[in-house]
Amino acid sequence: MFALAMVLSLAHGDFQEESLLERWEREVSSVVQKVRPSVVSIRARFTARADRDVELRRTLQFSGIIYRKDGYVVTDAGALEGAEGLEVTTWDGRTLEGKLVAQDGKTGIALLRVSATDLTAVETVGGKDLPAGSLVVSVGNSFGLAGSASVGTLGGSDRSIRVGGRRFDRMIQLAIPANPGDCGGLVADARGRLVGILHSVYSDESESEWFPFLGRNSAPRTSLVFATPMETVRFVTDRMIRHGRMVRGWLGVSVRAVEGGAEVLRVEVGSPARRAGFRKGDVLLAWDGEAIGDVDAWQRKIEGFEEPRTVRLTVRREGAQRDCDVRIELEPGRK
Amino acid sequence: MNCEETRDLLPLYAGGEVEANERLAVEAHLPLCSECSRELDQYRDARGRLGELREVPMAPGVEAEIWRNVRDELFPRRRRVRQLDWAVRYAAVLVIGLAAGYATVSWVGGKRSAPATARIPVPSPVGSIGGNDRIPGDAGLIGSGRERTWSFSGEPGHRSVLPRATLPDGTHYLPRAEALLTSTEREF
Repeated sequence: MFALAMVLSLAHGDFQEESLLERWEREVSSVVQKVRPSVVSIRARFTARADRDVELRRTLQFSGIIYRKDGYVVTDAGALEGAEGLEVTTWDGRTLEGKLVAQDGKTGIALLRVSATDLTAVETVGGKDLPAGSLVVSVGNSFGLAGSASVGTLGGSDRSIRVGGRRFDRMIQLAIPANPGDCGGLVADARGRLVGILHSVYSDESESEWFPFLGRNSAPRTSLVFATPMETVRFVTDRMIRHGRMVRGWLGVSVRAVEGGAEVLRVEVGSPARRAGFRKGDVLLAWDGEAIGDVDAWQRKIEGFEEPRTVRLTVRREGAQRDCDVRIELEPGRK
Repeated sequence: MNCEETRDLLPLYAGGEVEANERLAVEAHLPLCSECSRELDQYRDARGRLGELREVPMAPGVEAEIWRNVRDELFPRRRRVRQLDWAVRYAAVLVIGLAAGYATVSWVGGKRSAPATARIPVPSPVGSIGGNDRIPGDAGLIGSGRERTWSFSGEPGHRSVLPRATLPDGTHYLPRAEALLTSTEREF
């Protein structure tokens, strides 16, 4: 009987070696199955009064990620402006009322809370900066279709974009399909760990609008997809959970990278930098005696504060260096 | 005056736009004909509801979308056109000319706030009209073959909608980035 079973199995190819492609397919599928329960669909309700007697009601659907099993959901703040109510639908079909905990205009991250304690949170530990070309899996709610999954690659990191008139820095660029409804969706690495949150797409449509006859000879248009990186998501979300709002240190300057430091381009009115006498053209060189040449490192240092503190900064002005004590304050609320 | 003649005048009569002799003729007929009286009531009812229309700003991007739809209908298959003979090409040029003329007339008409007849269906660009708010009798009844019957004006860039309009459910969100920035600027 055993020999007969062996012969039959061989005849059906059960012992055929799994191809690399099949294994890849299986791995990708298992990542999608792992992360899908951590993605939710969110519906925001809006009412606009266009006239005394005219009331326009609408809903907007997008995506979110379960950050903690006790009901914290992280999503994109852009869709929430003016929302009157939020409905969060989980992968297992439960619809829960979402309450806005906090939102951060600078990074476009919003934190919601739903009343549940048994949610499947996304894995955020162990993640590190992925090199360009790394495989990524995204799961969102394309056009409202729950758990829509795509596979692609990480196209680049540390990108800056402008969306809705606001600047977003340190974004990651993806070569992956994204559709309306996917905003706030999950981007995971090959192990199903959070890499980022789907944020926006970029495509240059201007030519095709006005010169349709050029379409035949033009290269096909594809979109660049951008996501907020996990490092930013974790930094902002953890602060929001801890404080109930976004809290970060604030100096009040715009800078750009120059040799050996960060050159001040603008100083905000009423900011700690203005009170310390900073001027356009000053170059930030060192922090409490430690030389810092990278603008991102400066940003991490300043924004890392959760309460006001005085530090000594070394600044170069017109060729001369000087030290000055600056009180880093908390960033005033911004929309 | 018989029923057919009376019905032709009813839309104008409801709007107070008939001549004095026509008015007398209609008023002489109405007490004798319950059907025409009922039809007049429907016109008056519909007219009252049209009076509830309000103007709201056209949603951003709607004009561009309308043009895209018109354009797609005008130039549906570029490849075929290239292979067609001259007669068809002339026809195509004529169609484009007519379309351009139509667009110009429409545009100029909009600028002057020309009255738009109620015969035109009014699908709101900012949302669909709720089922309970639909005008009884529908547009076919309202027009009744008289272009001047009832009118409402529309400012350029505006459309009329009934109260409590609702966007089609489930508008899906994914913002578009306006620009890729190359500077290393940071704010903190």
